[in-house]
Amino acid sequence: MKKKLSEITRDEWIGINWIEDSEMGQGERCFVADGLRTPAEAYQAREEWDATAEERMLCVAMVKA
Amino acid sequence: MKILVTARYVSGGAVEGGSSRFMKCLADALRRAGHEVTATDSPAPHASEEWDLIICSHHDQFRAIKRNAAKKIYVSHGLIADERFLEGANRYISVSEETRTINRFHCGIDSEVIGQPIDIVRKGAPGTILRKVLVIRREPVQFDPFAFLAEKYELRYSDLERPIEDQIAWADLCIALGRGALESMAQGKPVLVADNRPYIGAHGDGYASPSVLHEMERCNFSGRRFRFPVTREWIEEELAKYDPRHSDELYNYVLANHSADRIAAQYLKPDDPLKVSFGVLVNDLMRLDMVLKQSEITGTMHTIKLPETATKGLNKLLGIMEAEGADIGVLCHQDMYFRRGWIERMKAQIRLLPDSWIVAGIIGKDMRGRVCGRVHDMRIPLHFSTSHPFPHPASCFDECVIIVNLKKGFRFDENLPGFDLYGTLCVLQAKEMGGTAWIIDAFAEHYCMRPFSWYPGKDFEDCFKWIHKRFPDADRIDTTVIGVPEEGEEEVA
Repeated sequence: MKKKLSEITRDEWIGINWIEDSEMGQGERCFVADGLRTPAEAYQAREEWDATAEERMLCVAMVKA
Repeated sequence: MKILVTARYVSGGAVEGGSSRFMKCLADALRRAGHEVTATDSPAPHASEEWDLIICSHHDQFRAIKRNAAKKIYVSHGLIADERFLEGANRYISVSEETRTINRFHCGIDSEVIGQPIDIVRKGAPGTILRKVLVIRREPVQFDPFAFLAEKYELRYSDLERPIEDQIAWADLCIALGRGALESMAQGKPVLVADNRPYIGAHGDGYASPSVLHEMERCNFSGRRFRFPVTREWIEEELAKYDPRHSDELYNYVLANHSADRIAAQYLKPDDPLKVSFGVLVNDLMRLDMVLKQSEITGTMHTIKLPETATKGLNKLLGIMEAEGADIGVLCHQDMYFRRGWIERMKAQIRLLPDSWIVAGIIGKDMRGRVCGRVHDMRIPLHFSTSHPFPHPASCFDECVIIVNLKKGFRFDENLPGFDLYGTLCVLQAKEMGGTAWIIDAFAEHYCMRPFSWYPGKDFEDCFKWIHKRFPDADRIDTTVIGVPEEGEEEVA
């Protein structure tokens, strides 16, 4: 199953390893799930999620506009 | 019971791979337990027969028996599409946390994690020095990262025509993924969890030291837990960790967690009507994400961020859990970690309690003021593990875990200010209601960050005074935070 970035929850982002599966011309980045993140990746993903919160919201707003 | 076991592969032949050996092993264990078992990869002719239970995996096999009236258990072995759950079973089982997570994501179906069943054959002794290495795999790979080992060791590759048990018995160490790794450990052989498989490439989790087995287990020893790239240097480093003294620990790990007879019993356990829900007060999302949410438990978890006081927040959580129909509410800290099986252990202890029980904890003090319970405060290497018979009457709980009987309408007295001493308050209130409070044997890990230099301040003192005023006739008012003199102990003036 493919998910748009805006549809992925915080828990999913931290726990799951995502492979980008966006198509050319697609408004929003898409990902497919690929197993669990390693412990080190999960820790980093958690920080990344908060650090990019503003950027994600901007992307969603741009797509909706 | 008359049981049908059906999956894409069930013969147990090495050529069919791990899932086949899984189903054969499970069917054999069920037969040993006295059940009448039919195992087939073509269930259609049996679809209209009367069964007490159907254990199934893979899509075609499930579709063939879906309409049968028997109770159906759907097993997911891995991540590929054909191994994912389909709607329509009564119970869902994943072989690992990873499989559970991916199934929940793709199908929206949550499941229990029950590990692979493994036949415990006979334990062998690995050599003092690593000499004989067996690579277990079903088919040759294009690039074999282990070929260079032949320069230094006696290297063999598993032969599908010969019993794998004999081949493992020959080796000092096995290189394998998944079931092969577990089967090697079940014979007391150290394992390097790694390979080069077309579906994940050359990756591995490394040498299976006893301290990391639990972590590797989360991804079913697939090499995906740590996903280290398999290079010559890495293989050499990992093999340097070889220690034949690990043999007993590896064997005991498989015996405790994967013995086929125990796993088969878990498949047959009766439905548990007790519904458990978790509630957490959160002030640090990082702790919640990286500790409690990493726990290996199923069920619902509710959170409230930064409530005005602990009791007000906890009461909201209790209200939410009651409204969703839960029987037991577990109020816990964001820095608690629960391993697989904790809920079952907790329920088993709760079943021992009298109907009068209102609250329970996992660590606290008894009525004499002695610490009571089993927990690991991760700031220190030692485990709390007291010699009380459990469940044991409590005078107070540590607030890290408080278990509430949601059928009793219990609510914390919201007049208690601040965030301290509600583990004492709930015990006193339970008794005031004519009920009982207990410490149960349900070990968990507390990744506490409070420095040892911490000492109760004015807020704590106010809470303590308030509680003394609120319960003037209490048998004992105590807390795990400070030392209150034990009963019979002389107070020093």
